[in-house]
Amino acid sequence: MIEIKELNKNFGKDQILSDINFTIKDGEVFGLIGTNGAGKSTLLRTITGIYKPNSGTVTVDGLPVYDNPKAKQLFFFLPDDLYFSQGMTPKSLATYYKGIYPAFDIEKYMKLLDQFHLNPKKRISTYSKGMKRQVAILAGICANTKYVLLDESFDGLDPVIRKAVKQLLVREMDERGMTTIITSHNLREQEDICDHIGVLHQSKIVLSKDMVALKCSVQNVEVCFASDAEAEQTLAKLCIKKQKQKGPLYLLTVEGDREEVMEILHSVDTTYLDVQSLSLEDIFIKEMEAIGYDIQTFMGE
Amino acid sequence: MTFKHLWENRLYNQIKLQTMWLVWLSFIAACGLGFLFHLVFLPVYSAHIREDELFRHGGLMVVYCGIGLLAGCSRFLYLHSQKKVDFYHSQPVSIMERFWVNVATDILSILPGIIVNVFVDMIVFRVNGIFSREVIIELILAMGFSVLAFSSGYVMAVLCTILTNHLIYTGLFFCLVIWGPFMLAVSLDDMIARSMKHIKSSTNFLDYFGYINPINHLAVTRSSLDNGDFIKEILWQLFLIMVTVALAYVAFTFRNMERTSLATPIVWLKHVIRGFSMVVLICFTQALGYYTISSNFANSILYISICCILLYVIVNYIIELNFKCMIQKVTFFTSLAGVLLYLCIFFVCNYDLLGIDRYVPNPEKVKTVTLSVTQEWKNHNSVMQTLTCNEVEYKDVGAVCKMAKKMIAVDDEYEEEGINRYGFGEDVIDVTYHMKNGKMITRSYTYYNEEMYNGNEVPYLAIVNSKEFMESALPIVFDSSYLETWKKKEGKIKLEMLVYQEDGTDITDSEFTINDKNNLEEVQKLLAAYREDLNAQGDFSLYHPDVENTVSIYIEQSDKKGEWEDRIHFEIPIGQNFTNTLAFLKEYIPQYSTSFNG
Repeated sequence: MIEIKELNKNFGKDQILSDINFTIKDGEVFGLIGTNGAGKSTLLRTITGIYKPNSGTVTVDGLPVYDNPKAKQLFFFLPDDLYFSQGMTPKSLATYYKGIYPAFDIEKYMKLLDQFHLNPKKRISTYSKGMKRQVAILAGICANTKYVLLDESFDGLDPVIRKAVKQLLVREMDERGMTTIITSHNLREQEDICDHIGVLHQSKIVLSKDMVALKCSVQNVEVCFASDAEAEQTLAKLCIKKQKQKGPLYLLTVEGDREEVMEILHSVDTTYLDVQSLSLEDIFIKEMEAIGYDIQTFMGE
Repeated sequence: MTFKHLWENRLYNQIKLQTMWLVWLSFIAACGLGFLFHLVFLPVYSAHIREDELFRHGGLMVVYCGIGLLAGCSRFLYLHSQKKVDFYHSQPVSIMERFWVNVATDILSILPGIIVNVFVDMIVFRVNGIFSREVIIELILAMGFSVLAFSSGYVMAVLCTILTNHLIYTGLFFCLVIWGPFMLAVSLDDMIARSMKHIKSSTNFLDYFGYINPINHLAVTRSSLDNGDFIKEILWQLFLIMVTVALAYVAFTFRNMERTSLATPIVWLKHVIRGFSMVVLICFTQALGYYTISSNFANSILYISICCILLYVIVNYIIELNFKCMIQKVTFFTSLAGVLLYLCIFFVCNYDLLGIDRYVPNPEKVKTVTLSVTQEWKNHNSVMQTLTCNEVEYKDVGAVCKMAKKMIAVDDEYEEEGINRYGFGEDVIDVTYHMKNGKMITRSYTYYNEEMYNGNEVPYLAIVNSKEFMESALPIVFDSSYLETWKKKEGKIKLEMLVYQEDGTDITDSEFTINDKNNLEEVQKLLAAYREDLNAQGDFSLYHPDVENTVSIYIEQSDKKGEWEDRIHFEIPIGQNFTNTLAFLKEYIPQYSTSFNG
């Protein structure tokens, strides 16, 4: 389990992370999403011990992470901007990692390289961006660490490879209970794979929820009430995040348990009713709108 | 964590993957430069050079220092790249291990080349018949120097790279550390020499320059082979290397606190570097632009202002790599601090605000005082005479202090009145006050003319014309046992006697050398004759108008290697009525002319 308690990180006067508190359970896929410049990469770097926190704690299975090789042995970090030493080949990379991660499975790695049609003796510097990423992800999987942190790691992968990599990750999670932390701006992808979502905005965690609970907690409702009085009465009972009206049609974003919302709406006369779950992207946009980070701000409206 | 584990899992792989270029470079340097150099110059060696000089050329040391700079910089340059930092620092390797494995890897990488070179050299010299215990010792010394030179360059490069965030800034910081104190010292020396009247510009700064960092100290270590302080300087070298690498390690641990893109992991250090750069560079440009500054006040203000602005822009751009920083308050004020420090130095030197130039210590705090005098005067034939006495101990400290104060006052008076002293003859007296607290203070005073004292007593003349001064200046004359002490010393003693004679139109000199210490007896005869003449003269002093000529006696002692050292020089003035002395000289030196007597 990765536990982050009251984590603060600043560079000079810039507060990058502010009172971050959350927990990542074993075996789950944690999706970290956030606005640009929110501090996602800094958070990952602090979790992996690249940066030392100014205050607060980051522990992995009870062990503090910073300058602790025992704790760092438990995870593998794949940054968004990859680096390989001059002249390194996938084979030499495997040898290098073997010296650092004793559990690194060179045989498995060679097999995966073969499956992904990557030449182990060719210099990585000659590979394309996507191929380099494949090499790095496969190395991360074969390091056999308990946690894998992927920072925008699917960027540059074609849809087929992307799907193959996801399947590999799922297989590893099933087989050995690997825990994955993924940051990505591709919320559609996050929605497919993640169990838990954390939203970071301006150095703070604004939302941390189980994916199912998150999706069930907000819905889009389109309803026409039989009378204005009933409309007023019903709207007062609902927790409405956003409301629009086009004639008799109410367009609502309602927060609350889906079943409870349905019960309230079915208890009144309606001429039209449609309830739909929001996508993760919609939820994200709605959450950001609620705190003032929306399109109107950028469009100057 | 055993060395076996480290070797198998880290060092070996790291050398193989990342450091082979350093191994090859070491081979090229050692075998290429070292071995080929010896092969080419071997015929010369076998004929002329002593065995202990075979490996003392500094070329290989400079090369290895350069390789060390390259290796240190390239090894830790990854800290300037976020993606490289992400790659390395996310790995399960402790900070300590990461740092020391990198350092150990690089030092191990250069050893094969150096060791192979030693063996190859041994074979080459053996084949050519120049092989002895001394040669082996010198080879090992050369190997040690190469490793020391590499280590010195390496640790300095590592420290500079860790404390900065991009290569150009690393270069600035490095130059500042290596040459900054030297540039500052030279500039201050120049400023003092030009603006202060009584402080002699000295090389004291440069004595300390060699102990600031291990690279500068390499020159001191290298030269210690010749002056006997070898062990001490090697220990200093090792100490400086260890201190530098320790500082680098501490800085490395701080690095993880800050974002890669920041200038330094220790934020306040950036401001110190900025301020210090300004001081050093302004002082240096001022020294370069002396002629502009000295022409008039307006020119000097303009010159300094332009220099300040240009240096402000250049230094800050190098540090921050953007022009926006120029308008930030912290940039402006830290640079301004450097400028203000320079202005303080400028005003202190040019206007003696702290009274350093005019300082005369309290006689009660002075243990002894020594005087060095160079005096010119015209003898009774109106011929210019020059006499120099060095480091003459004078017992009356109070009189010397009084003389100093008077000379300062007269100098100031003439300067205020704007009197041009060009055309006046001048004597220079250097006074060294040996303080009771162990310190030494040296000041220099100039005597122009008796008229400047308005008929009052001239303390300077009272001292230099005193019997006490003459006796202290010429112990060889007045202490009959003086030469005996030289007889007892080991090694050879060389005595040179130079006699300058003047016939009114030509100046010729003759020189003869006594190379055997048994001939001390001849010199003692001369001195006996001189003492006899002196006793007959009565009030004869060192700088007497009756002085016609001087005999210069040089005494040198050679060491075991036959090099001459401990050179002592006496100039003995001879008066026109020194008949015994003149007779001795005529007898002893056939070339000696009697024309001046006529």
